Amino acid sequence: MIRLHFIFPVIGMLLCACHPKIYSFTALPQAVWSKDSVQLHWTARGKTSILFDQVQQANPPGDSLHLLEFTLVAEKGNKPMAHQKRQVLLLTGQSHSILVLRMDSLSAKEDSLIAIGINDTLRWKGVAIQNVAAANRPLLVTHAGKTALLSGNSTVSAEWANLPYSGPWEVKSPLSDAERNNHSLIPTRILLNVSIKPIQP
Amino acid sequence: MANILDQVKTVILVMMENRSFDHMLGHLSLENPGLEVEGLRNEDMERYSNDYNSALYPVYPLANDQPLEGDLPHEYDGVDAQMQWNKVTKAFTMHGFVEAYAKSGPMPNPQSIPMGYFPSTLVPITHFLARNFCTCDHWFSPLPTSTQPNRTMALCGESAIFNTHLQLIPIRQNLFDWMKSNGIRWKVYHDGFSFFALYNKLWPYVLGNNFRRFDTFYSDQLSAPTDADPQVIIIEPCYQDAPRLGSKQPNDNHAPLAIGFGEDFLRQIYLAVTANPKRWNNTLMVLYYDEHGGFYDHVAPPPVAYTTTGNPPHPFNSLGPRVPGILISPFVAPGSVFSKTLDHTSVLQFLAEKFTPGASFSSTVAARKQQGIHSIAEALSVPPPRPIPSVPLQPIAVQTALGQHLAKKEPGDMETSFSNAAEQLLQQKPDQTKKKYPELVAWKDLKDKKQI
Repeated sequence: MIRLHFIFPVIGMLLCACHPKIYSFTALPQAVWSKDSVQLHWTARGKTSILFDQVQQANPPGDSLHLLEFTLVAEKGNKPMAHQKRQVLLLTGQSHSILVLRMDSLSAKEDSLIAIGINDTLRWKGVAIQNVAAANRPLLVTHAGKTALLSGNSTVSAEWANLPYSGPWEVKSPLSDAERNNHSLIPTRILLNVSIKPIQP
Repeated sequence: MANILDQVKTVILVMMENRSFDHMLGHLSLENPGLEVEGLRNEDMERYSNDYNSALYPVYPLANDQPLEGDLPHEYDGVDAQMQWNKVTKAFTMHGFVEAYAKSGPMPNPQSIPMGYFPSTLVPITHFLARNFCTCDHWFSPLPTSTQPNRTMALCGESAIFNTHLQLIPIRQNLFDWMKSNGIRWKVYHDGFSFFALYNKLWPYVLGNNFRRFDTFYSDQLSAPTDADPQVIIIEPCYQDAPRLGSKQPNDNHAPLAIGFGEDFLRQIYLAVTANPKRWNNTLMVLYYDEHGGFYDHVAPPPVAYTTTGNPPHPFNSLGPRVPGILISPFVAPGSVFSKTLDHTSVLQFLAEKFTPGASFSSTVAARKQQGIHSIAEALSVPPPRPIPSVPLQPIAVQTALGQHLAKKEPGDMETSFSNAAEQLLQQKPDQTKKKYPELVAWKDLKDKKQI
């Protein structure tokens, strides 16, 4: 059961002819396990209400995403309404996540690609790694001070087990002959399939 | 080809605002996998997904037609970020739409607004037109930037400006002068204050008799054709950013508008265009969008170079993202797809081919042709006669759980430009403006009283 904690801010109180307005609206954390709480916070002008929906979203190439959707509506008299939507990712017991690292440089010898990324700390606070699966090419992966070679062919590594999922990641991968000769063939991003779990307190 | 061009007696141009091809018509290939159209495909969903902060943001079908939370970035720097040039592969990845959106302020949801696309049920008229006429699936905005430069390219085939801001837009050559000098009859039907008012050089036209209210279009179309009829008709929606003439709902499809208002506007246009078969039989209607408005499209624009003519000049190295383009006419095969590269100057190419054969619209349009921009004339044919396809007669209802309206956004440069143009017209041409646009007097009064 998801528990909702609402923090009601001071709302603009002056009686004026202004339109309703949403100044800010957050739903945190951005990813929750089923027993976690979602905290909603907003500042708005006008009478506010929250609409709640659950949404399933296809997530190529992985499983469906389960989303909790909160819509804040602000009304004021007969003025047009304002609304904003925040979605929170609902994680199940055995969740997988696709980590995306962008390639925008090559090694000095131009024989390997380098892809980097910083995994969102806001979204993944409270989430730890179980294992990491490589894409279909060999990757030298560095994260949280550890480096390991994933040989491709769906290799699964527990090298980062129990370490935080968020933070900087880097991969290096040797280029094929074809890629060395034609840079347009080099993938512009590397995807890692990461099994995740709640961080142990 | 000359024979077809001769048979086209009336060219109708309808330019809407700020939606990408995938956003409006990407559903064509998802819902009809056998259709040879460059829309979205299930097997390529991973490739389309944008990434931001190392997370994937997939494209997704919008669940309903409701106003968006706000506008999306679509100025030249935002478009640059959206197309995301990769310096290693030397190609656009088209993976930066969510990042550009996030950098404009909002925290992106997993279902991020730029990545949403409409299923056919939410854009029934656009879908109807695409399935019954000719979809142009490689129609790009001429410049990877915003409204004012792209509309100027459509009007002039060149642009002195590279971005949208508070300005009366300077122009030299333009479609209206070209039509006048070549003796081409034309009319503009506007469903609100005209975008052409932003060009002070065009004010004599804007205040003249060739500019007519959209609500006269149907009856004009119904009348029997004569030799005095316009050969070129431009239809303008009610722009969200412009002063209202009357109390009408804007219907230009500019975000954050719900799309249903624009769909109903297109329905009304189609009903009028097909109301008189004698006119319809010789009509070509072009439906296109000025630019993509910040919505995702997966096709990397080709490298067509252009430098704006203003001071300082601004170089662009490619076209902008794809926009919806549909040719509606008895001179296209039903449900056909035209895939050669087009942009807004493809219309100017076509007009010159039809009305001034052997002479191009301008040297800049000719130069774009040299760089690979084709004419829409190439999409025309003479298919077997068929009954006029019937569009739904009932108005499109905009249904949203949140009501039909959205809180007014803070005025941007486009809105301020419109206001500025309206105020200058009232100031500099008071009698003509009050006679032509009496609603502007009330608009100005309310504005001065800060009631709008």
